[in-house]
Amino acid sequence: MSSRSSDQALTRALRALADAEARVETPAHVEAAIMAIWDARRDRASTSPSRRRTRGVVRGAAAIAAGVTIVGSVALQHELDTPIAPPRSPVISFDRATSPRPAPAIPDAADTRAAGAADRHPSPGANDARPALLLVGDPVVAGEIVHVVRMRVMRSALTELGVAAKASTEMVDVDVLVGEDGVARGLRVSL
Amino acid sequence: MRHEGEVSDDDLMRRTAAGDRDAFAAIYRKHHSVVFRFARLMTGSNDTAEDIVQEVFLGLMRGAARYDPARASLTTYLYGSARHQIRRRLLRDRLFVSLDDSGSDLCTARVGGSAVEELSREHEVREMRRAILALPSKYREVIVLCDLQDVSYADAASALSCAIGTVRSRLHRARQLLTEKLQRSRACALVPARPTVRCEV
Repeated sequence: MSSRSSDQALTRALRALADAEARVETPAHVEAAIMAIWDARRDRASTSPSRRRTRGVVRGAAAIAAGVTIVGSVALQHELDTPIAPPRSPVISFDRATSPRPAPAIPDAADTRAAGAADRHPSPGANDARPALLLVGDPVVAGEIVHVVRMRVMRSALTELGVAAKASTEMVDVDVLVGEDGVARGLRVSL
Repeated sequence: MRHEGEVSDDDLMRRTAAGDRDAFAAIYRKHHSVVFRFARLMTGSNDTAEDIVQEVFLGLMRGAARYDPARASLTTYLYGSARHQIRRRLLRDRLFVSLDDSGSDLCTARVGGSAVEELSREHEVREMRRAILALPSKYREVIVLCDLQDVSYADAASALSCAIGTVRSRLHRARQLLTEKLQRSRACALVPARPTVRCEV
């Protein structure tokens, strides 16, 4: 086949394909989909003035809330970083008759943390009564972290331990010192 | 009332950028066919071509305000956008292998004439379509634009972001490749099929 006839055949075939393609149209659903997207975009863009105002108020409130959260976080961080003041020396009342163990010395570090934590909360009857620490478990060792758990117990329960709590009601607030192992180390109660 | 065809593309684009739904619809109706056919011929798939039309016009919707008529006509802009989408699609689809041996889901539109002529024309069109799809992308796009969609060399160069000389040279090479492919295809068709013989055992 000569070059000329090849070119002619190619041109004819290209023409046939072009004619066939000229009758092809994009399916209608494509236009429907595109116009639906257009409408959705315009709906979002054209919001009413009241809606814009509402959106502005919401944004303002969100900004204020974010500011308050940041300031609060900074203040909390500052409080956590501040060393706990040494506690006031507690009055320890140990009744040998009611406790099987001798009264050990209160470790500095542990008691500092425990008492510091306790001091942050008003101790039971702190204003009108003398607080006392009653040891009920293993002695607190140096460096041990203890937690203070406030409980409300029957006064009779304290009486069984030999503690005469100074309270006019049947229920007495007691601070329980709990060691890292979850076992109570002592009670702090107003006498 | 002005007829839709009297409105220039620039005017329609300005109105589209201002949020005129009718203007955007008019642009779509005016140009969707060329984009669809271009995508169809480049990818060989109706579904892919539909996706590309959608991507191109969604891009136009989003970037109507950025369209600059001084840089290119709207048709050229759409061809360029379609080409970009097609390249992305072809690159992505290169990772997959078609399970369909024919490699095309396109059907030929029926035209008048005798059944023999119609079959012959369909065969010719199918062969040509297959040969074009087998071309490298840079040759395929010039054949589709210049020979099948009658785009001028200047507009094709603008859409393809290359010089007019490059379009000419690629077109020349593309036609050579197409001729070779068609000749090979016809030579294969002339080879008689081997007769089937039943073996006696």
